[in-house]
Amino acid sequence: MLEIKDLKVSYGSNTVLRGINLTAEEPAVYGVAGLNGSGKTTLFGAISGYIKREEGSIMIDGRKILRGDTGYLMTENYFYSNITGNEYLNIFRQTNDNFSKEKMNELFKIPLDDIIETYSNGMRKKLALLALLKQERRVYLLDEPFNGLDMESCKAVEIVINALKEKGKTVLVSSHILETLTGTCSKIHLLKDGIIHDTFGTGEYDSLKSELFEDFVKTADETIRQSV
Amino acid sequence: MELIKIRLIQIRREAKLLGAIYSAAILTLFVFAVYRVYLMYLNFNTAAAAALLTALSVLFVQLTRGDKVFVLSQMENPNLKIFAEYSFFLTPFILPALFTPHFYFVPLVLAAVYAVTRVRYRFRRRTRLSALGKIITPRNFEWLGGVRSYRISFLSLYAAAAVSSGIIVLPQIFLILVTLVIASFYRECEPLNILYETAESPRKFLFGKIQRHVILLWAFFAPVLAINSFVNPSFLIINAVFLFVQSTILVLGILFKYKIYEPCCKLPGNEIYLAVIQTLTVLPFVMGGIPFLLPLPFFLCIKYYFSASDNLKEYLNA
Repeated sequence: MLEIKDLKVSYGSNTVLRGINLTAEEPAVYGVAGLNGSGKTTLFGAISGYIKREEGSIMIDGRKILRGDTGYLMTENYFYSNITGNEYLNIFRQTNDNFSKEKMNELFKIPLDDIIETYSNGMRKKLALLALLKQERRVYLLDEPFNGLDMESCKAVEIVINALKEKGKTVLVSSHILETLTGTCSKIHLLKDGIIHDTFGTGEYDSLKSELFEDFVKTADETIRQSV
Repeated sequence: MELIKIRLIQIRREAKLLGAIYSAAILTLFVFAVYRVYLMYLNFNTAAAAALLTALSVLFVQLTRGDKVFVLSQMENPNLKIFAEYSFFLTPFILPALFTPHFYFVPLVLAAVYAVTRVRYRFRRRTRLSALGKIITPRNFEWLGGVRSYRISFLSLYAAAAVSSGIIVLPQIFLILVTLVIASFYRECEPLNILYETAESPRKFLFGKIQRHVILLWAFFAPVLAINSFVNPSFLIINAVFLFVQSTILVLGILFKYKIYEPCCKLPGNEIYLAVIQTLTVLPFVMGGIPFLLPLPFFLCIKYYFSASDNLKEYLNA
């Protein structure tokens, strides 16, 4: 069980997370929705230890979460200069026995012998995903995993998420495109004003949509129609 | 003017990052270079060489600049803007020519620069030394990326050391320069997932990395020094101490990186700092002087180890 209590994160005087409380009781796929700047990436960064938290606790099965518990796919991944995709993957120890780089790359078609600087954004994301899957983790944090991917790769990521769920993993997925979440998640948490504003189950996604967009659409419709 | 403004902002930022002393040193070198170019323009042959060199340098920049596609596709009058940018930064190098008998090179250089701005071809990045991953394991990614990035200086200096390995002092001087090139491998900070992968605690992490990288250094340096000691048996002890000191300089480079490590950041160069240490300690020793500063790198390693360890505690499960 993943349990986040009163998590607060600030960048200088700008408080981004004001007290996140989130519990993932059973292994499943949980969505984190929110507008740009709502703090989705900060939340994932804080859970994985990439971003320092100011206050609050993150526990996994009753103990403090450790670095090795989480696998984090960032929105934009940074790789070391002048190393090839193959070399990058070989930096990581294989702790997931089922993982086969060759088989996965038949699907992803990454030129693994080339240096990563020559890759497109989509290829970089797929490479980072392969590195993530090479290792067995308790919790997977996928921040905007569909961004920059072609249609086939989007489908592949969707299958990856479902396979992780079937394997009994807890997966947190963030996206600003709601449809990508509703297809895969059993619950979606709405992040707003630095807190979990509301949580929606599978039957409640229409309410989530109206919660997110209703006010905006009213104003935007008028403004955009006048400007276009 | 937009491109010039952007470059000036970048220069200001770099200068801030380098600090006052390095910036002053670079400024001094710049002034010296301008004066040298002026002297070149006084003689016809050297003036022609200076003009050619200037045009070729601009061509190289034009071929390799990363923002070319953006500038050409998104800006109005891109060629004119690129020309203004190049001319602005070349002014200190071409303007002094106006005060020499060979002033006519100025319009010639400017015409060449304008022609260069029309070049749209761009070098595609290729994987150099692709088999390197078989010799150096990916866990030593600094060396993998570093040897590829600095392949010309690293390989040529190492080849010079190897070729001169039978001669007294010369291979050691080349190896000192190779160590400084290796120190540049540590200018890039790896992302956290790679950092986590290597070890759990700062102590294990630092000792593991130092051990692996010192072995790599020895693998490169030991053959050269072995031949040198075989040909000049009186240098055996000197070479052994030399290898030890070069190892501590490398360790210093590693500790310097982790002392100020920040995930995914490029660090300011530590080569000048290490070059000063090399000059103070190793050179007098190899050249037969009194090596009273020889233990300096070792003591600095101890000092830096604690600050590197403290900094890493922020990122690892300490």
